[in-house]
Amino acid sequence: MKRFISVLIVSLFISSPAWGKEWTLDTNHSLVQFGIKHIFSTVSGSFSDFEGRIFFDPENLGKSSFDFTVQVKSIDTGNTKRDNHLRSKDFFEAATWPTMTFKSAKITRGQGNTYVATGTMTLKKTAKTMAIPFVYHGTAPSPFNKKQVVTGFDTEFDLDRLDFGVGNGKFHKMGVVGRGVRVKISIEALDTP
Amino acid sequence: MNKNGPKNRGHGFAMVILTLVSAGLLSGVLLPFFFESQSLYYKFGMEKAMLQWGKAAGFMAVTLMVVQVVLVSRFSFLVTSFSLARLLSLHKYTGVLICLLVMVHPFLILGADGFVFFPLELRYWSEFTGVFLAFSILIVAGLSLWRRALKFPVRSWLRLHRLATPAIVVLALVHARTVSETFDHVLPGIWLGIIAIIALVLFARIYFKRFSGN
Repeated sequence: MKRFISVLIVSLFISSPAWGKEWTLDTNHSLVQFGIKHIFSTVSGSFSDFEGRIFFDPENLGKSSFDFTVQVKSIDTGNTKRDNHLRSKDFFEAATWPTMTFKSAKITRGQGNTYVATGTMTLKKTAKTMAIPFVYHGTAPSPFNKKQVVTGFDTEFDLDRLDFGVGNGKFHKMGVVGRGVRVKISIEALDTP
Repeated sequence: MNKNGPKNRGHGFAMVILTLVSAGLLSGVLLPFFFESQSLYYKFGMEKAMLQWGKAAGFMAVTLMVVQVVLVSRFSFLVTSFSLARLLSLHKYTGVLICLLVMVHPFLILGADGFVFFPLELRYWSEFTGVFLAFSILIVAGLSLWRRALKFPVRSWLRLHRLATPAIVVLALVHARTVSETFDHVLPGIWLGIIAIIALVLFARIYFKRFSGN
């Protein structure tokens, strides 16, 4: 029995490396969106297939972390031909690099309810350290199930697609597609029972 | 003079039909070059050529499908001018040409984007209609060419051929209209509309004649 309990405790440590409060991403109410300039207008799009592990406790940031994976092929800009072009070697090369990831290494507190997640953004073959500011909305009991607690996060940040090799700059030089991408991520997560 | 009159008239009609078919085919080939869709703006060099010729192959295949209906409509002036055997032989070889175009079309279109295939999502229904069409065309044509070798009963083959081909032509027209922005332009839209009306009228005529026993 003692042996069983010790194995159980060890497994719990292994399965939750950050060992903070784990939240389950509610993908039905979370969004990964982006906007990019096309000559004058801003083309918006989103990725519908993504997953993430969220460990967040504002009182214990040392044991908090974010680990997100987005499936590139799920890109949707409302135009099927453009989406397939974005999946092609001209941009994401989705067949070769099917995912983009962000894995936080450190979370620090800013002012009020703002925080900064510093970690590694990996897109195609490029991995870069990025500091992503985000807003923590706190927690609230779910209006649908009072026993369940909901939390929420929002972030907006810019990244340079050419830094990650998303395109070779040809369309940017032509003045057609911008290089700066505005990324908006809105997250709702539920407490893990 | 009077004795040869109807035959000469028949030849004249046949020439008019041949000219129209040639014009239809030529215009189909030229459409992607004169009425560029926005997807072509983002392609250069070989990729642009692949996309343009891929589209041209598709448009040509659609036009030839309508030509196929003309060939089996048994118009007396065509039968008089060319004989039924020649018309049916031409129908067979045109079918082979359609199969080649149907195979080349996706190869060039997908090749222009580095063979990135569409995800299995409902919003790509038009592209998947094209995939379904390509397989249907190859099956119908393969069954027609190798029916004897496959020991497929002639009556079943004829029934299948007569049921499948109108559906294939209609789906091909729907696929062309919904997948290509070229037909958002007025003239290509009219071109496709004319092709669609010709196909539907000819099919209606064939079925009316068959069921009325004429």
